[in-house]
Amino acid sequence: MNSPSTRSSRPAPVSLGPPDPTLPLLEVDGLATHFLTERGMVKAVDGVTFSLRPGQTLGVVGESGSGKTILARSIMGLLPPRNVTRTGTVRFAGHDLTAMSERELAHVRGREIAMIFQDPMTSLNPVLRVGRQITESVRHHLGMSAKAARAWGTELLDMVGIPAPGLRMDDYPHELSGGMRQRVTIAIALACEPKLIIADEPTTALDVTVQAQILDLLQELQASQGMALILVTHDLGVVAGRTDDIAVMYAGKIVEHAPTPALFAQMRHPYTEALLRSIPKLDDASHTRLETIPGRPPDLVAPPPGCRFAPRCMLVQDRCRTELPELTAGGGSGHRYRCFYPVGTEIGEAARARNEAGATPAAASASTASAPRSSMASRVSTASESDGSRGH
Amino acid sequence: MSYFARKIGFLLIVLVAVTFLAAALIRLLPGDPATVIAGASGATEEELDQVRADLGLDDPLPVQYVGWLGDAVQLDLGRSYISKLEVRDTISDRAPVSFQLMLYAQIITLLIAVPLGVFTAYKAGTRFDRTANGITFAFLSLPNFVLGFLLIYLFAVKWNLLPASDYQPLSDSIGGNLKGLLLPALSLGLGQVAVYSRLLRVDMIATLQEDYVTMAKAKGLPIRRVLWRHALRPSSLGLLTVVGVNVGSLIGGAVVVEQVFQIPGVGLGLIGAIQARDYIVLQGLVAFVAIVYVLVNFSVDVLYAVLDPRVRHARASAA
Ligand SMILES: Nc1ncnc2c1ncn2[C@@H]1O[C@H](COP(=O)(O)OP(=O)(O)OP(=O)(O)O)[C@@H](O)[C@H]1O
Ligand code: SF4
Ligand SMILES: [Mg+2]
Repeated sequence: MNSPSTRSSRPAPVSLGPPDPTLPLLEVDGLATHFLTERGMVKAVDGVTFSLRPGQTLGVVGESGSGKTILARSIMGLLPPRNVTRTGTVRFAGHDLTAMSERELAHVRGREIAMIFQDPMTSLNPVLRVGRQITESVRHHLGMSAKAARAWGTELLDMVGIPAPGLRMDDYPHELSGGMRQRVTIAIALACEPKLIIADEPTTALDVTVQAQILDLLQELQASQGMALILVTHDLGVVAGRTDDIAVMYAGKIVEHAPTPALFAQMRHPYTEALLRSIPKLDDASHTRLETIPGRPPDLVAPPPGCRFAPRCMLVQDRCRTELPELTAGGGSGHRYRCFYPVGTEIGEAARARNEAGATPAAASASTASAPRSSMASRVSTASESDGSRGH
Repeated sequence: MSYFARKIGFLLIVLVAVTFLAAALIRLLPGDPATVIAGASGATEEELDQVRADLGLDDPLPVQYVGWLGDAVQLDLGRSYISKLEVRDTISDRAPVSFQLMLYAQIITLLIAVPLGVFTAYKAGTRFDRTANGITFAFLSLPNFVLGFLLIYLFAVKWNLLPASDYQPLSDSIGGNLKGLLLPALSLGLGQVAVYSRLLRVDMIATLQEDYVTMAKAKGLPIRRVLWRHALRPSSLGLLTVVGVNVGSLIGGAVVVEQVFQIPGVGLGLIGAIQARDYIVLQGLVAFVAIVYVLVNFSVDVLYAVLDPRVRHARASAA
């Protein structure tokens, strides 16, 4: 692929140095984003810490409402202008993005970090031609001439697998199908050859058949361009074979974070286990919001005082309801989880056994794996009642 | 039937209805044109009858109207009873004047209202937003003529910067023309700044929530580019419609403003014709104004499609 910078009429303003492969590209530390609402403080992202090396891929997985989109937007500083507080730091190539002004951030956005949105139907501007939307960032960031930018845009469209790219440049978004539009947004993200792409559920709004194509394309481009990638999804199955690491989010916090093989070899957090069981079958309507884990995510205004997952957890013990577990390393190879009674450990399985034996009110019924939905639901409601009816 | 054919059919019906209503209403005005024409109080009853017969004023209204309409479609709008001038010539003299006045008023209004709408949307809820709101609504609540006299007092009398009443045709002097029409255009337009800017603000605030605006920010574009290139156009359809429809209220305002500043436009002509009971001139001017009004609305519709490719697309496939 020709680099856009080799085509530009003036040299790219180098705002940040080239990434050092031994240093983290992105370091998110204690990131918390809270919304001030009439009901109270919505803790959408609540103390997230992780880091990413250049070229590394990270899957961020969680149910609807777990804070994935807000996390992605908090990293780029793309939050609503009012009634939001963001604390913690986001360091990119050593620079603290949270300390930057909007003007400084504008040099990073699109140029260094690009974003792909959930819904390609709404993320393209309906009144601007596709070509203009692809080329404007290289025109702006790299100062490319109109002609060079057009050539580069056409090449990008070709690269993302759009037939007759030269003609499509003059189309308006409504003239393209959903899959084609998402390819366009990928082309837009690639335009300045960023070092990191954040893809927020890039396939959730698409047909099942198109989903795999888009994900394959992203993976391919990520590998060939050597970009780092954060792939946000609610589907553990999507990231299973595609990312180096997986971070599982629940109620604004990372509850488990591990290299993908380690996670699948031995998942430690009961929520991750439940998520795995809720991976949609191929024939499911995949754009429906998943809520296959019994019970509902907690109210983010008044989350449970202890472990956020306690009201829905199969392994819950008294301690979980009062004390918040920290994200701690266990089992080497960078596996971290936030649980007092991890799945597959002695104490964890003992807890499960106790609950299944009916020792705690949370386990009113039988085996977790084979429990019918209704009995799970009743167990969850019992749990939250005994919990003093926190939340909702 | 295509979209435009239906639209044009509808326009014709509206035009006939409006001109007929105008003809009917004019005859409800007190006063008798025959007395005016025949020379005030001195004329005898026979002379008056003669005048009425000549002018066809004795015929029933529908007959008069059909006669007028038959001539009008051949672009013959008749002659003034009084000045004997062709109504057509009166219109071609006066219309450009009113047109300039309204055009300048719209331009000035938009030049103020569009940036104001964009920035108050961007700064929604801040003190800047509230201050702009207060000031523009103050202007909206002032009637045109009050604003006109106020501007005359300040700019013409007190500071002596601009003339109170000095219309010069564009062909004589561009500068003089602009100078003479500036205060009238301001009196006509300033009140509408509130309407335009608030409307744009509301649509703009909605647009700023759109994913594609966040996407534009995610590209690292400067905020002014995000606002002007990405957010303004999708937000401007409502404004455009109102700018078009507003020509109607502008025409009403122009009559008053032309009177205040003594600008020889259609509005001043209308007032003169009413005072003189000059039915033919009045009816011709009303018909002209109605046609303009209807055509403006029609063009707004066409422009709509140009501004928003989705509308263009939907229409092409519906036709
Ligand atoms: N502007 C806002 N004001 C208040 N609360 C908000 C705002 N934006 C998001 N939230 C809340 O923050 C929480 C996290 O939202 P987020 O969009 O990040 O979820 P998500 O994990 O991306 O879910 P999904 O899979 O549905 O996209 C939700 O409970 C949401 O209601
Ligand atoms: S076992 Fe306890 S700490 Fe672990 S997830 Fe369940 S409730 Fe939370
Ligand atoms: Mg989301």
